[in-house]
Amino acid sequence: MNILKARKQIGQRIFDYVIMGIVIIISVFPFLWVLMSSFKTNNQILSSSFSLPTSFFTDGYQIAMERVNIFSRFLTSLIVAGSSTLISVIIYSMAGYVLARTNFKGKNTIFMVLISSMLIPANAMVQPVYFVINKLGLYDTKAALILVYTGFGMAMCLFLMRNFYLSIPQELEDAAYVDGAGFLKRYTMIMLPLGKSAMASSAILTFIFSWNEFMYAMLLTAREKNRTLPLTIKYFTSTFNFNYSAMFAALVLCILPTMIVYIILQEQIAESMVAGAVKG
Amino acid sequence: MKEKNRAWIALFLAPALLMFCLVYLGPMVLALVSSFTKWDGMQRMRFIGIENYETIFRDPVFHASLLHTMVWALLAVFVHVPFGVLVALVLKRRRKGWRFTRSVFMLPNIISRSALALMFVFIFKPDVGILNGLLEGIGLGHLARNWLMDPKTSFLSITNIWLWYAAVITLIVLAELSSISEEIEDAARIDGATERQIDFQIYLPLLRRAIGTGAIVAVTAVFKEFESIYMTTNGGPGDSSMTISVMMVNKIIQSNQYGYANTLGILLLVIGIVVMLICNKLFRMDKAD
Repeated sequence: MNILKARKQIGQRIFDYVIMGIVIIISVFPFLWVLMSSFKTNNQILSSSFSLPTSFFTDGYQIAMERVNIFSRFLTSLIVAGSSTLISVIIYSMAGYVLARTNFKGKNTIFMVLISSMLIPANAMVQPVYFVINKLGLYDTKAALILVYTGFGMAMCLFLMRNFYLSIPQELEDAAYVDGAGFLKRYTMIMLPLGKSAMASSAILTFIFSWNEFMYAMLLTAREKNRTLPLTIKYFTSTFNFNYSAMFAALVLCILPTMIVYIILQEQIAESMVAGAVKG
Repeated sequence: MKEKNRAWIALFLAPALLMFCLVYLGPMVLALVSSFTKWDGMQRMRFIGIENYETIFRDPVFHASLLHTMVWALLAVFVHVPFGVLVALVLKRRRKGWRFTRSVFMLPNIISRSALALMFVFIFKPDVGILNGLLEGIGLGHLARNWLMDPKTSFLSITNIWLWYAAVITLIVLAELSSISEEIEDAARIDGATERQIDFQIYLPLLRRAIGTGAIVAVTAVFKEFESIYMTTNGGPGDSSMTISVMMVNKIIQSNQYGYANTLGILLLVIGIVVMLICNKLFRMDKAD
């Protein structure tokens, strides 16, 4: 009986490690392969896709950097994602506070209406959004992307913020009220500093979404200075054709910033992902 | 005091409401109205009743798109989510290296989809791709093909760009697992339950709502999926990998059929809500344990 059980435990252990091994391989292997290939010459890539690079060949990177100003695109992405994140955190924290801590007629209706935006898939309204942006005179500006990305984060941010503000005990605010603190003061001095974790989650999710967004970035911008990093990849596939070494290098350059940030912030990112998902 | 607050409340809500009107309400109304018109963006909309809807339901491209979108929704619920749950249950046992596994599993979810899609273009390419090389290496060379350009394999090849990367599901389930008291597990173990029995008979039923949340997240993501197809096959060859999102964007970019495209958008929205309601029912999300 005990031998049987021990054998089962060993079986379980092997099974677990096999699953973990598969996860690691499917997650890491494509990245390693791309990284490795980016240092190979075109001929090496074509003759054998598996071999390690024989020398440290960096022409791919040089060509990629010459063809597109990756740094400028990186900067555009940073401005767009950074601004969307900042604006989202500010306006949704304000709205979330009001929807959680004050009483007025129609409060729940407003909340339900705003949160219903969750049901609308962002890309179901691509053309109408394009139309609105055009009418506002924002076509081909960074502001267009900032506006759209801020809008699309609404349901998630509002939900996180409101739930957080609901969880703060009423006594805290009452005490401040008795001390003569007005509306604005109660919000900025008491609530805002307490809301850091909800804000961090909202910020991380908005930033990741804005940083990676592709469809709207493609349709709402035209000039090079407003193109974001994810679009670079499409550009490379259409211009490089058979210069694989440059294409692999470009891919590495596009992924690298995200990787670095992820390695630094992974715990917070994982937490935010869960918080954002559970909202439904 | 109350009166003064009212001004503050309005001021605090105004930006969010404005945002809602600009990005959701306005476009939504425009999409709905224009779905009953012929519209190319240059000339005025011309009201044509439900002609767009009729045309779409007869359009073979839409049939293919709907089928593919539905297949993806099913794969999301019955492969993607179970895989994510399985990984979570394995990681829960905290074997050596579980943290590392969890960290790297997130990588493909964190980088932009267009970059991940391009990686898979390389993997599937017949000349430089590793998949064909791998197949030849293990003696299955006769299976090698141009995966993305073969109508038989293009759609399922693209599916791999998201199908196995279920880290978000794993994280949701892990978070839920950490809130379940360990005493239950200990008690079951004393009673002689194996790990598998503990997983299937104790944890899975307790995880119902977390798994339901995961399913909704996954299905919503599938409906939004655009880059993985746009970057690889753009729906082709033929319509063999077309989905509703891609069909819609092609109608906008290639032929300026805005009314038609917005009808597709409305259908995408309706199908999305229906599938979400089904998931809700399926996992009995509204009922407590």
